Amino acid sequence: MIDLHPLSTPAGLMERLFLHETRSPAYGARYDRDESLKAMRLMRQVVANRLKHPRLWGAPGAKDEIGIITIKSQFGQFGLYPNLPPPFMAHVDAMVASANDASSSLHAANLQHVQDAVTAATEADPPADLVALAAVSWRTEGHGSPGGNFRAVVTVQGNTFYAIAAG
Amino acid sequence: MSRAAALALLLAIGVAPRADAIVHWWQPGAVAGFGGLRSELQRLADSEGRARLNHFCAVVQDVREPPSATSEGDRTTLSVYWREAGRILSYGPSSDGRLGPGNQDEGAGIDLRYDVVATERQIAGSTNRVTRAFVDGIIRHCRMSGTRLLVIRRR
Repeated sequence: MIDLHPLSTPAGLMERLFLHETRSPAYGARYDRDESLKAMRLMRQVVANRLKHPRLWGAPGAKDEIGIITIKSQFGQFGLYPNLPPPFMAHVDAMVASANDASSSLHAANLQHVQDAVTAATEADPPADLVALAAVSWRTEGHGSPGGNFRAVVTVQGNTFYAIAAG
Repeated sequence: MSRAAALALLLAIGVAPRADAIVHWWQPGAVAGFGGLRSELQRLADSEGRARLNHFCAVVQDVREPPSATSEGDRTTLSVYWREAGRILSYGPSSDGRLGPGNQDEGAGIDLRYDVVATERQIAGSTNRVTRAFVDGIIRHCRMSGTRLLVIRRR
């Protein structure tokens, strides 16, 4: 049995954000477990790097990750927190349900995927090579840049991650 | 349409691929991995629709480009414009050939009420905002090359 941390906690909100934004095992051949974990870890870095300079990201009063993620229009409908619309969270809820249902065809894969989201949201020492990328945003590949002063650093599982451009 | 003409059109409407990319737009039925579209749209209308009549337009974007650190390389993506819901949904190809909720890329979805801005500057670091030109490009390609479907909500 696996469950996410409560929605009221930074870990719980990050887990839901990561699961919402990352390819899941239902993607079949386009899902790669290691790469999806990498994507979620990079998303954690985006949130963490914004929290170092919250004013830059429209969240001057942010004291934790919740204050960063819930800024309007930065992370989609997560700006509606704590009243996240049920259809918006249906995909995540279904994934967690599958992870806890031994009869589900994706039971084992979803169990691992949800565990990976928990790992990415809670681990104390993220991989140094991912930290070094200094990612501050991500976009669906092909959806364009997050603005004029960003540079793409890596694309993982369909999401392109961006750092602040030098100069 | 020639490649040069297609690229010129893409640039004109703001959906610019990499210079060395080849981009085609197809009807979903013409591309492997996007079968069962009507069933998936019926599921959407029944589970999330509020209107009885639901107008959809679906088109597959087929991008061919070399993989690199910042590109997965070749990829096909189904965009579905749902007029009544004010949304553009995104799907990856299904391994069994038939679309389902598991193929939906939630993070790539666009809510036309909240996620659309006039300029790239107004994206301002957002993970989900897109420009009006980007949205107009998808809808225009859908009308030119995609499939339009009318789905009646059953419940």
